[in-house]
Amino acid sequence: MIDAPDLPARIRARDRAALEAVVRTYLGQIVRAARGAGFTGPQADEVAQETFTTFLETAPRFEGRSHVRTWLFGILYRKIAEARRALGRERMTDDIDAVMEDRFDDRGRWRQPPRPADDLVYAREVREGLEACLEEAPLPQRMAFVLREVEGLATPEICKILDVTSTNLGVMFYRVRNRLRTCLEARGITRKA
Amino acid sequence: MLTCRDVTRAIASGALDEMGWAGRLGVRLHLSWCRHCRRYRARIDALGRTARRVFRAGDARDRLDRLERSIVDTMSAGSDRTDG
Repeated sequence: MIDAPDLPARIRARDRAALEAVVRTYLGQIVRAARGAGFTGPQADEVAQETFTTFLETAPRFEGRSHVRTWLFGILYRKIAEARRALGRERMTDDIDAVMEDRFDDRGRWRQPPRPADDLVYAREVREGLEACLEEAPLPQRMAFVLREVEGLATPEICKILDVTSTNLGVMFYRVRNRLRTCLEARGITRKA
Repeated sequence: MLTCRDVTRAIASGALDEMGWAGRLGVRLHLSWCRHCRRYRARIDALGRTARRVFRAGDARDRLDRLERSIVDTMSAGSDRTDG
């Protein structure tokens, strides 16, 4: 059903079985991405519900040029951006570039090399630490990270969802990964292997 | 000749996957002698593994089932209304 070639046509026609199959297939991922974006349990459920409501409303316009999952994640991303703007949670400045620049000398060699390879402690404090550190990141970076690392989406699909070029996405990955590492290290949530 | 700055950019931005063979070879050579950049890559990899583990844990199936039923019910009501 979900991979059938006539799925876009059935979605446009609001075929009930097709719409239900979309919900059953992608609800788990949508809720998880909402949580990754900083929503707690009930809020994540609510934003997921709103995502599928908008999906139903916009179904007649679904042309099938992109995958239905891409379409859904795009709706989710716009919902989250709206909610965060309403809460005033968006930070405007980005200082991670300066932090990283400081780690290299003018010949591009490490001035402050990483400490010996470590792995993060897997415990509740890591979850809390990761969520707190993600909270410091601008939403597009945060979504890029969650869609790649947690959902395993490929670059072209993430670019469509976030409406950015692959060069922009590369900069976002660079910033968010360095930001998270720097933040987790500052909180002391690492251990030596 | 790639610098540590170049190599960390390639690793963290994900550009490594899209580089041609010459670029990938350059990064691999650099990593073969630079332990700092090897550590850096290990950290970036560990970060991804941790995020997967943290966010994929604890998806309560019964809660998700209830939410799914609620959405499907709303959708059915909505499609009945618009179609009829």
